[in-house]
Amino acid sequence: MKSGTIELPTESPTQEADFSEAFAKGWRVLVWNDPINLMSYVVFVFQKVLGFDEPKAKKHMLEVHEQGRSMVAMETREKAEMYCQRLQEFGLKSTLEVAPA
Amino acid sequence: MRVSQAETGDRQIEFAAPEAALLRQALQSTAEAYETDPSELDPMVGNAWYGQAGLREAGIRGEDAVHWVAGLHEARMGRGVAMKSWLKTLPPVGQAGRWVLPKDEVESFLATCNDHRLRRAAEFDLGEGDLEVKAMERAKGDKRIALVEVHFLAWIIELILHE
Repeated sequence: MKSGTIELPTESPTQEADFSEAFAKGWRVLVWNDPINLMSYVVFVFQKVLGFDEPKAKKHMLEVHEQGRSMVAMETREKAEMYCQRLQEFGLKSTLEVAPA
Repeated sequence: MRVSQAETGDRQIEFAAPEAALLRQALQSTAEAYETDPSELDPMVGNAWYGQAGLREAGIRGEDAVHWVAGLHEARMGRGVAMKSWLKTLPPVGQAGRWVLPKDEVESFLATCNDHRLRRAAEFDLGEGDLEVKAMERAKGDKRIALVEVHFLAWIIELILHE
């Protein structure tokens, strides 16, 4: 580095791609069906964790029940991870996936 | 069992003696399981509470996966303080009585009851068919006890959510 100049950190194309991927709202939070969690409990958890109103929580719960899974959020990586982990803390089967570009 | 909601939002639950005893037993065993390191749990239970399916596909591997599981374990252990107070205030063994669940502990209580159901179901690999009443009547020994607990806690959860 030359004296008196500030060298800015450089980012490789891969790092740039990682950053944009992490901050894009392209992360899906999925909830999967299981035979043990009660329907009413799943509705309650959706309201608590995701802030859904009751009709929306019921709609997603029924999607889980009838179709085997429901996408409950599409967010940045950080927020999606937070939702997914909170849902797992309540015992729901939740996973993350990157939405296809 | 009867559940009512006070003006404060606290839940008041009237227990018959066997109901209080069953809840006490469930809470005690779940408290112990919460304290257990996830790697030392029955693998089926570990998978139900700390399953890592889907983490790898999301790029959460190695140290990140370890942190993920540690976060889940910490959240469960965080219910420990409330659980101790529930065990102190439930009717004594062999007695019926009224129990008050504070409003701000309802969420933790429901999650704990649900975790107990998940754990018992995982221990006996219970599926949808096992949860029918006829299947419970046919079940024997420890599996029957597990099914009774799963149904009993479902009843508590439903009563609290619908009150």
